[in-house]
Amino acid sequence: MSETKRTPEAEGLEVVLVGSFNPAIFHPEWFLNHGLIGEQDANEAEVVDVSGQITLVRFCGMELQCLVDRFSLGTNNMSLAERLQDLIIRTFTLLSHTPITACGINHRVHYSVISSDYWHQIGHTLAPKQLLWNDLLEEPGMQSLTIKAPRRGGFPGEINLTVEPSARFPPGIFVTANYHYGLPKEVAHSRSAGLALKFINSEWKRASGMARKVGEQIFSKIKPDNV
Amino acid sequence: MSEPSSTLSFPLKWASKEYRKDEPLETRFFLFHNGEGCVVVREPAENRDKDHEARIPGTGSSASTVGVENNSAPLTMSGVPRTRVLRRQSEQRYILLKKYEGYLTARDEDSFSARLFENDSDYPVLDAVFDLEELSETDRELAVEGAPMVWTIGYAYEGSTRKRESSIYLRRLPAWDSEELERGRKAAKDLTSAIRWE
Repeated sequence: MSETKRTPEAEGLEVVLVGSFNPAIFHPEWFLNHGLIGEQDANEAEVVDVSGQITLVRFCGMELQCLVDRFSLGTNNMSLAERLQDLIIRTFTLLSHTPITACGINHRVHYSVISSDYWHQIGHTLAPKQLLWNDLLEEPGMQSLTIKAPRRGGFPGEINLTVEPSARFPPGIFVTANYHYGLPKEVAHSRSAGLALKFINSEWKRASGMARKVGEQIFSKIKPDNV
Repeated sequence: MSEPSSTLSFPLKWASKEYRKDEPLETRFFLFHNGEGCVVVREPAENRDKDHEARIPGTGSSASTVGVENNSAPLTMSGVPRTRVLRRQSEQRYILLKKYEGYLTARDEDSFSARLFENDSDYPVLDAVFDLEELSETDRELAVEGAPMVWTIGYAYEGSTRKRESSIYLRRLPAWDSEELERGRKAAKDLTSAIRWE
């Protein structure tokens, strides 16, 4: 199997908003009444909890979670990525006065790896143990590695890339990419929702493919020793 | 690498923001690093009297486990903490193999044509014709010339069964605002003026 061109075992995407929300709004009936989802989607929705403090509902292959200060909409089906983007955009175009202080687009990917040896090799290459850890610990292993970098341009913020062992597909790796945008404080109560939506539209393509890009780089740069 | 540890910390957080106001504006995940944990909310609970106080659930309990003794004492209401388990939906699995984006170029009674590309630098682009039946009944009215669309091909899982799936989604985008239109006009103008004709 080629290690440079890999297909993920599983993949997901999530948009997280931080701000002030009313969780009780986000019932599938509300989405239906505003024409954001279809009747069949609303009928098939799974409402786990909808209250003034917490909401958890699943519909259209997506999962919505909301507290009074956080909102997220995510999916494990990447064929729904654009549908998720459209739903977020239309929802907060409708709720345009929602104060939003930060917004993140999160992409996650699981890859399986051909052998435990190669899996350890990836961990040792990303987090070398010779300099420090081997003197302190027996068999040190990489648990999580996060690389943070500034993101410049029209929506300055951060990119956080994390590599971890995959608990779902062992031996494997789990890569997450977070495109974080902290909104300027001065717009919090005026046009923050509109600005957050502009950020989502502007960074969507890059952010929603970033974890795959990281995975492909890892398999392309770190070749198995014994092949 | 090493396998994830399970005793690093117990994922439990208060739902109300006054309890979490000092936390950084983290957007890497909704609340919990691995997508799973307990949220504590304050909710009114039935309470008989002070000798029969509602039990506060243990941190590892599942949702809706606040118990009230079933007796005939008078009811009062009081706010008690309850835990709600938040767990990212993980059973759904889909492997994306190909994705084309583009727009409809024509439509007749039974079919529609589209111009599609895999990425911005894709050339030549793909021209394809689809049966209208490929779209859901509700999407068919959206199939008009110029409508943006996405065509994906992948493996969908149902338990241990894997099936190849092709799906077409017609995008539902809000109308462009004047600022976006102006930006588009400027980009087109810049692009046109950058072309050096020989």
